[in-house]
Amino acid sequence: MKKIKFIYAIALALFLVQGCKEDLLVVENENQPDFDKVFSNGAALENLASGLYVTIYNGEHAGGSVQPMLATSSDNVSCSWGNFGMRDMSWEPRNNAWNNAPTYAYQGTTLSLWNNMYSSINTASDVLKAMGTGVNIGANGADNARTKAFCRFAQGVGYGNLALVFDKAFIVDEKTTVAEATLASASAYTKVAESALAYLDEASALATANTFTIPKSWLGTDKDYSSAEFKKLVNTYAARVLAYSPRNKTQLAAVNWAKVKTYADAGLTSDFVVVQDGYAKWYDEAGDYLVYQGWGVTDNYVVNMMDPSKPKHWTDVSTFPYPTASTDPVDKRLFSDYEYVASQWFQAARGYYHYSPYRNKRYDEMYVAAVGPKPQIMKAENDMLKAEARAYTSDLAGAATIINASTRKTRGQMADVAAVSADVVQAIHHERHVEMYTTGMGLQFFEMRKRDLLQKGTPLHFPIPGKTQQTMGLTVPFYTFGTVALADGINTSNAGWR
Amino acid sequence: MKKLLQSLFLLLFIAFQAIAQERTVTGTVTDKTDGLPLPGVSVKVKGTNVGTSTGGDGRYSLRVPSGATTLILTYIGYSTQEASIGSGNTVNVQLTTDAKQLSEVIVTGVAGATTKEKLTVSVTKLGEDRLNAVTGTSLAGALSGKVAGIKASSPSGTPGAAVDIQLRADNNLNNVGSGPLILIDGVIFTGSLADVNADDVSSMEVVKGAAASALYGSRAGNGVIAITTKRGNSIALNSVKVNVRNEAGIQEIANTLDLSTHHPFQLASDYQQYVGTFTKYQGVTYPAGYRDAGHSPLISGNRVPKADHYMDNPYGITRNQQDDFFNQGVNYANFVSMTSRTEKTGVYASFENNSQQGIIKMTDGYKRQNFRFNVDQQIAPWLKFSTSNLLVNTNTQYPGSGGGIFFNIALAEPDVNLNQFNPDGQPYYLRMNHWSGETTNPLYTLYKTQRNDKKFNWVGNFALNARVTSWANFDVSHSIERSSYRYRNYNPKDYWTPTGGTAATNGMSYTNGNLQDYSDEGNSQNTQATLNMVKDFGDLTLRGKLSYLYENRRYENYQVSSSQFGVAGIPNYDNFAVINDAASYDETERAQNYFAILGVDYKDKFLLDGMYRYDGSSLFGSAERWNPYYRISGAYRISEDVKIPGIDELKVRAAYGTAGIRPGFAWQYETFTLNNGSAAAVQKGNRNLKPSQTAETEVGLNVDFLKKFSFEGVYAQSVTDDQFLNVPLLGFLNNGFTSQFQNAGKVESKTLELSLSANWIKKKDFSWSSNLVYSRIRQQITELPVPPYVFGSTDGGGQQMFFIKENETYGAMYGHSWVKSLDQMSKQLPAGKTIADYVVNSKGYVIAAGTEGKITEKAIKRLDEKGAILFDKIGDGNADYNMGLANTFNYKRATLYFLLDFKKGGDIYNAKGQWLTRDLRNPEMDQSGVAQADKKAYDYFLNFYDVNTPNAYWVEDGTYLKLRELAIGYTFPLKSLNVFGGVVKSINVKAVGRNLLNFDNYSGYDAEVGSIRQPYDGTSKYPNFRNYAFSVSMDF
Repeated sequence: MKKIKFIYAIALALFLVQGCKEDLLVVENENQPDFDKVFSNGAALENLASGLYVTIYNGEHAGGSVQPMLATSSDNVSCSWGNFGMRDMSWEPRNNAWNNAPTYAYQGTTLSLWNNMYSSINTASDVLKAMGTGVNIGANGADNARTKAFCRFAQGVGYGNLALVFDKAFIVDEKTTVAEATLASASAYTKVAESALAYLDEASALATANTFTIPKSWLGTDKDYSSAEFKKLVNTYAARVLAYSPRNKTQLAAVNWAKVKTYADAGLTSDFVVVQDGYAKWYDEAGDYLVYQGWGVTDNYVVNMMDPSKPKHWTDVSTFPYPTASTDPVDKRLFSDYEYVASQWFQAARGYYHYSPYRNKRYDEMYVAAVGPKPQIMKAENDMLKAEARAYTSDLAGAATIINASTRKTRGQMADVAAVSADVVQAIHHERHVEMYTTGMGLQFFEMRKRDLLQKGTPLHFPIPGKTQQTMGLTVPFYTFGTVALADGINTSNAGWR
Repeated sequence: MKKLLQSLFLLLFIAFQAIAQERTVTGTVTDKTDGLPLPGVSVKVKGTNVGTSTGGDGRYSLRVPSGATTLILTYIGYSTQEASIGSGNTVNVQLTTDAKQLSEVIVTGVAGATTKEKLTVSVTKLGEDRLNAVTGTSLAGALSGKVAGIKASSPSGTPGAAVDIQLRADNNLNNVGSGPLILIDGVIFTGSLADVNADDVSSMEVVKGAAASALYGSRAGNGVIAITTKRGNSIALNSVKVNVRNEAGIQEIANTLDLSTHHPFQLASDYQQYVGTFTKYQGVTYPAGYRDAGHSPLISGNRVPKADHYMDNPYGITRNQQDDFFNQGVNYANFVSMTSRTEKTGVYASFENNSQQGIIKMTDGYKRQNFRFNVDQQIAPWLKFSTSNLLVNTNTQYPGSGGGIFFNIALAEPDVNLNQFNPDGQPYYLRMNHWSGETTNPLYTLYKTQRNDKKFNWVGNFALNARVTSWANFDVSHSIERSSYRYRNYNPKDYWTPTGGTAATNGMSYTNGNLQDYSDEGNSQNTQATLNMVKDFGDLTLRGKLSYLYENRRYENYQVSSSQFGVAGIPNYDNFAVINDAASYDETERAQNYFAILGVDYKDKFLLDGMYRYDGSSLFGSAERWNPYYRISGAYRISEDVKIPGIDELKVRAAYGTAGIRPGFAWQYETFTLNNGSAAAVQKGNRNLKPSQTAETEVGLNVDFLKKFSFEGVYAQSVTDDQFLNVPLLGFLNNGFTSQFQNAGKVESKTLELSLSANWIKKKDFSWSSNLVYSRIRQQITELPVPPYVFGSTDGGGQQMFFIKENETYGAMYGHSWVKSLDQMSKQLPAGKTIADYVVNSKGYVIAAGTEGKITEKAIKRLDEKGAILFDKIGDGNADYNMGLANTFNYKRATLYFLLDFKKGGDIYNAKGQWLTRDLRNPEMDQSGVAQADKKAYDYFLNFYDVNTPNAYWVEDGTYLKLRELAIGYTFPLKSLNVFGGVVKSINVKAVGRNLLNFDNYSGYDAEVGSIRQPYDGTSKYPNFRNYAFSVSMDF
């Protein structure tokens, strides 16, 4: 009997003791923080702010982002591979709508930009909201201005990208929201662009009124940015939003170019470079695919700019004569930044029009291990914004002067451009295609769009992603843009360079 | 709820105690073979309800009515025996083991050890004879074709790779798997069965369906497989047995891919001068001395298709690169075991060394050592200590670093020479094909990339069993599963990449190398206390268990990677200027589980089981921390009441039960993702997240007849609700959170299982027995409160095609399809066209009239009523049914055994064929030898390729018949072993084959491809292979 009692006692003790430990089943997630942790205090808020730009950068440059298809649909890069919608958006004749079905293989391209921008925008808004409750950053709020400025910067860049790529988006921040997400409650891209500018203006004002340093890890740069340098970056971004938003020539003419001039004149004076870190945090993967052996080649449209003796388009026939290597291009970057491709890796069956005799080699060495600097916004880009603003405000001489002091001469060794409107505009067009190749996101698309040069049938912007529409409670088919039949010059190109 | 459960425990416990009886006749029951006392034997007075059970020392004491003359003694695994009471007060009885019955005693998922005849739920037991007729290279594939209701698929032939196992239907939507809970000697095993040797296994019990597995609660929604290994009690008392088994064999690919050997391009007018050297294309200028097909910066011009686009032009050289890539590998196994048994101690210890080289050149494959140590020690007549331990040590050398080699070997054009040299003299020129910048030499990867994986696992259990009374014993056990896994991926500094170089290096450059290390560690510590009770009350026998299980699991991993070595040849992290990336992960899970089960057996014919389990887990949301499970099941053995001629046993049974699946670790939490210290919102938390729940109803019929046959038929219906759905959220209205795990959705399934075993002939010199199993499974998504979505693995940017949609079969493939009749075409005529503008071509597809055989010939996609491309069902990955047939023939000392495994239907999505078409490598594109009138341009096929968009053209029938196992064995007669002076007691030799023959119409390597849930054949799959070997087993 003793034995029995002993065992009963053990059993019951085990049973009851364990049974009482309710908190035994409470386990912390040690891998990812929750809202309370990331918003716990000033230091945590600052840390959140530090990650705002890399979220934007990854949204722009992940392999599956919109960057590759914007590059191919703007006839800047040619790539016949289907990945990331590159082929579907560069088909000739250009008669494909953007496939906005949630089941489409590349539906994630627009969705990732959309989600990453909102991730950054929402986090920035939450940080600002927390700061609004009195949380200080740094001793006695010494770093409040920096964090606030950087949050406004992220909101501005995020909404700027949404305005450039989508036809509409939802404007929310720490004070504003939408009661219900419907197509009607979304704002047109023009409104979104206005919001972007307002946020950027506030960032600029904070950088003017305060002195601070943006650590290099916040922007991925090779050095810290002073508030003055940061302000220049903000201004260039603002100039971009204004200058790249027009969907057609009419809207181009209506841009407030004086404002662009103000922004650009206070913009970048050196390249804004993001240091690639070996695929870890900062990796322009889309840019890699656009130049990798066996992938992107330079569109004939661009080759022809550098050497007009080369065809502007590879006709879709097997008998098209193979262009020889250029011997005397007008733009010497054809030698320094590009290389001759003596035979093609794309398949004839996908269209000879994907063929090109040149590819870009400028970033080959860096991309071997994805370690080293990659321009995100070149000084040359800001130069062209300055020139463009002058060109459209009747200062052709000023525009020409800027262009002739910029990479057109210093790297391309090209002849000076005359102070003639068409020439100046073309020279800017040239730099955006040749010099800014694969930098930023969609520069060439925005450039072709506003000059009515996107091939007829190309979407001029993209619809709210299908999966987002689905989450909004809408049902298929989801609205979209593209095809010759829908070419209206507002949502879908009705013109084109060809 | 928990208090209620605790009260229930106590009540059940006290009930057993309260109805204990007094005794007058005493005696001891022992095993006739070894004389050891047998505890728990049922002792009844014949013709009455009076009875008791023996205690831990085999003794019993029973008050018998006057006039009683006979006792009936019954015990699981022993023949029932009657004993005369006589005039004395002492009746000692010796029981004889019943080998057949012993092999059919079920212990998993039931109230107590139960014979097959008395089961009320579906548990199938496989003994060693059926498991190891052909000893598996591991336990991974041991069940294929042997148990009704089991689906198994080998998604990768990689030696040491896991086999996908599913019991009955796939009840879980795609966020969780459907693999069963694995127990080894009662210990929850989360490792891979591919790492567990088969020689040690004594039996496997397969607990199918939620009703049967309810006892395992929130971990058992997918059923349970319980593995029992050998112990000291498998041999006679006071004896020692040593077994040595050695096996050596060959592994080789059964089918290589059929690929095109002709191309569509114009050949140079003088191409014949270069036959044997390279393929000279029209319009291309080659450097002097050019050979083979590798990239040369000195080649200029393009190859141009001939006007007809027919792929009927020869290459200058036609090689089969698969011969350079695949080879015959060697496999061997060395096994030794020692079994020892004394009165108080039983020991089983073993060691196995296993090596499987696989079929890829320059790859060592998989090496494994298993150590086992099982001990049972009787400390006192009422107290026993047992321990079971398995140590696993594996080392795998992978081919290259991943699946790219299989893509590249399939797409290599026939004139490619894999054995060219790189510019620096390294073998296997990376840019093997001038005309494809994307496909590189797979042999270079095999040669240069070093990927080694190492695993170490310890699965141990330490248990004390105390016999408390004649009707109750108490188990306390602690089990441990420790696992560690690590791998290193190393590309040396002089590793070529196709880009970044100069003309002198053919455009290539060195990557300067990279290094990646990954390591993880798991530690599960489970403690369980169980009170087991068995008590006879006359015609009524009660079996019960009260149990408490505490689980504590810890898992962690970390990885680090960097690139660009400073110094060549030193794979060390100090050899980098910066470390590119590092990551780590930790998780802890704790669970408490209580359960009670009671089995009622009335007159051996009415059987009723009831159980209740209450699980609390840290994986459940804080508002749903505890979840209940239960089962009620019953059986009626009709043959105990009604004697039907020819019918030996007839039983009907029914069960209803529930079991669940636990959510993933992070799903309940609100999470921000971290990237190098910065945080971004990802997932909204859910404190209401709970396990998904499967409720199953099953009915079964068991019939043994004509003393030869045993039949079981089961029909089961299950409903799994509270599925885990990762529901998308609008980030801009949810603080940036874009998803949340929620319980929603329902999958329903129906399963029919039939099993028949037959002992056709059983004579002294010849016997023949068969086992036939059949299962038919249907599964449907019946509720989905989120928009339908696609999921599934793809490769190379392809599109997912498995579609989750309400009221659709779970496993349905969706995509585009093609117009195959003029009637269909008439419903989608473009403006200005009439049906006369279309015809059906020789392959059965509608094309524009007049285009057949021309480059404009293209099949037409079906459109929906709105004129958009139709997105509809194109296939179904679920088999119509599965069957297995095993036959064993014994003639004197010779044995022939074979196992056929048949799967009828079940589509495969052949993405590999689709990719092959992109690169003009699909054999059906080859028009050489095709009559001129029947030729098709490559454009016709590329239209079906459709940039990897899922479409019906690539859906193939996955029906297969496999000769899964074959063994021809011979056991030498004892007298012939006298030459060993009596030291050798038995020698058995066997020639065995695994996956010897495949019969299917599938165009890939093997119709057994992909997982059960996703029968998708991508380009990165290591093909399955056949294995034939010779095995010698000796007992000492």
